[in-house]
Amino acid sequence: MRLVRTDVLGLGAVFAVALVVGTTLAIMTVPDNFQSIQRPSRAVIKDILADWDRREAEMVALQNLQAGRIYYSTLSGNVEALVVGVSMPRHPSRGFFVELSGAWSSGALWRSPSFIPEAGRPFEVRHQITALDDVSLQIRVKDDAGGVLFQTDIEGQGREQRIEVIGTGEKAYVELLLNSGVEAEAPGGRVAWVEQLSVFAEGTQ
Amino acid sequence: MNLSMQKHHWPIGPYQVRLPGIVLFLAMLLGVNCFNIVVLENGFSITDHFTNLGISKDYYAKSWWEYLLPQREVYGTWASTSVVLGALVQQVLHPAIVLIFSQSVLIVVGFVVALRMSGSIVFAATVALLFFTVPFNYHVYSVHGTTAHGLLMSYFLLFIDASIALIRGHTRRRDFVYFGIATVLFVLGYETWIDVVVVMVLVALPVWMALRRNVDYETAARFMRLVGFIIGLTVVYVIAKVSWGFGSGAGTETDLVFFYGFLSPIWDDYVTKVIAFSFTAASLVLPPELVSSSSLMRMGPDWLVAQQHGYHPQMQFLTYANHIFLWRFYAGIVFALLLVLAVYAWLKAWEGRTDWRIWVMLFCVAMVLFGASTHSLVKYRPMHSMPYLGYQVWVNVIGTVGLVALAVDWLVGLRKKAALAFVAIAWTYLIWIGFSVRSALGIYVATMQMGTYPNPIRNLVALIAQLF
Repeated sequence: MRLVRTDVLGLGAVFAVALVVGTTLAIMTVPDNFQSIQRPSRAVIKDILADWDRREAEMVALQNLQAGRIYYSTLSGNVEALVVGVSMPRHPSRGFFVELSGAWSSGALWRSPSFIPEAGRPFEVRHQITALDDVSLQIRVKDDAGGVLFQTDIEGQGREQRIEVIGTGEKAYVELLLNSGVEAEAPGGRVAWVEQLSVFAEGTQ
Repeated sequence: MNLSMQKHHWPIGPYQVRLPGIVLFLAMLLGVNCFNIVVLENGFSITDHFTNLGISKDYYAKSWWEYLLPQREVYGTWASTSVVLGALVQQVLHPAIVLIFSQSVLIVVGFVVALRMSGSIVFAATVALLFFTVPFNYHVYSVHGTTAHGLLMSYFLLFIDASIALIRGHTRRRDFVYFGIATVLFVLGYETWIDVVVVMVLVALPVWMALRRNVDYETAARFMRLVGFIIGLTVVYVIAKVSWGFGSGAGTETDLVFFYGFLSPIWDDYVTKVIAFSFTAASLVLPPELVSSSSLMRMGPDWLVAQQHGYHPQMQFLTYANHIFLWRFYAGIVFALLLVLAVYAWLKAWEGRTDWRIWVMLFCVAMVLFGASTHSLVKYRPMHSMPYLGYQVWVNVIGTVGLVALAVDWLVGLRKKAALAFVAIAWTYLIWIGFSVRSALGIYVATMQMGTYPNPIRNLVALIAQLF
């Protein structure tokens, strides 16, 4: 028994059904913003390079100003290279957020890589940190043996601050600590925005 | 292969399709194609290409035979029966009319040639449908020079049809006249007709060997005579082209890889494009998610960059570039699979399978793989960084159309009782993908900053919203 009479209408009917269903599927699966979110690759890459050029210019300016040497700086944007041991989400415009990791219980929130300041010569830690969620923060400069070379509470909520420390010739690093304000059993929240952290040796001029 | 047009009815599984049914189907297809171009793709936004190029009115006062030669006024191009013909007609008719006409001719010619070649109504009707669904000529909405591209492809199909008749041993006068007209139309259509010669030369030896092994000496001899004729014609053509209209040189669009002067850049450049062009054609029938970076398409470049959270910012553009060039992994996979399919088809021919499907598979795979071999001689250009210039790979596109139609024909043969259902499912996929690919092409062209394409599916939604 023939289910469909194909003498005249069969092929056309199959086409009509396929056209309706196929078009409906396309309407359902092609997102509205499919094309509107796109930009020319040249513009995208230009923005990426311009962002880097701006960071590089800031660092060069900093370096020239001090006539010294930058150990590292968030201005480079290399947050992953700057913060040891934990992953920090980048701030949309500058720097990065500090989050309480799942493993955090107390003490340092993060620490920087080590650097070796020249003995007897000053080096500068320049930071611009905003405490979030009513927490109290402290920044420390320590040597590799655990000795505290300098420590101070974060104040000024995002205002640029400078710490000058005399180098010992031994390895040193910077760490951020949580004084109070967040329960130890509630990890995951954002507690600070590190807008800038730069460590550099001051020049001889 | 059989000339089934004499039967006046063609089976789809247990059903029969008669001539009025075919006429109705083609009329519907042409109507939908016209609606799509005019309404959904806003075809009347297209303007005359030669006017855009600043070609003066004096150009149109030449003698008719001068249009049959390379056109010095238009970079020495030799496209008398397609681009130049289109430009001449567009002095009277709107370019959109030329586009609709050429696409319609392609649909009808594709159907007739496929039916004469195979005798399969499923194969022929799917070929016709694909010439509607596959947006191989979508760049016409950005650069308006290919309104008559459908004619060029039709000439090639007529050339195939006429060649098959000669290879079969049909030697009536009208067979030669048909072959002569088809060849002249084809050769004068566009310089890249030579792509076909490369494909023929590449398959010549394997086909000759398979035919000889199966004691079909006469067909083998006729086929090789055809190949020899085409090679001779190519030599004459190249001499004429170089003498009258050679437009290649350092810095031009057609700057050739040979001008590198060293083998390694020639090889790197050429291989890149052979594989990329092959996939550019194949990608037109694949879901966009299997063609390029779906995250680039769905989330956009800015989101992708933001998700890097500033890591290694001085080289961040490479992360973005990964998404632009991601399609090349898929291109490599498809190229490898097609090579396997080519070997399979040739082995079947070698074993003596005389089914038309084997020969269509062998030639179509060769077209998809190597159909842009001469176009690949042009140096790599930024526009080739994403797969969207289907008009450049029109030989590969015809190969793709043939393979997909063959796959649908094979699918229907699996379970004849469900033939119509299988055809409906396959065609639904092709229509769905056809519209999806059009949207994806719009992304590629925007990324490459090569203009904008219409988004027919969004235009359709807007149209429906207006109606209700």
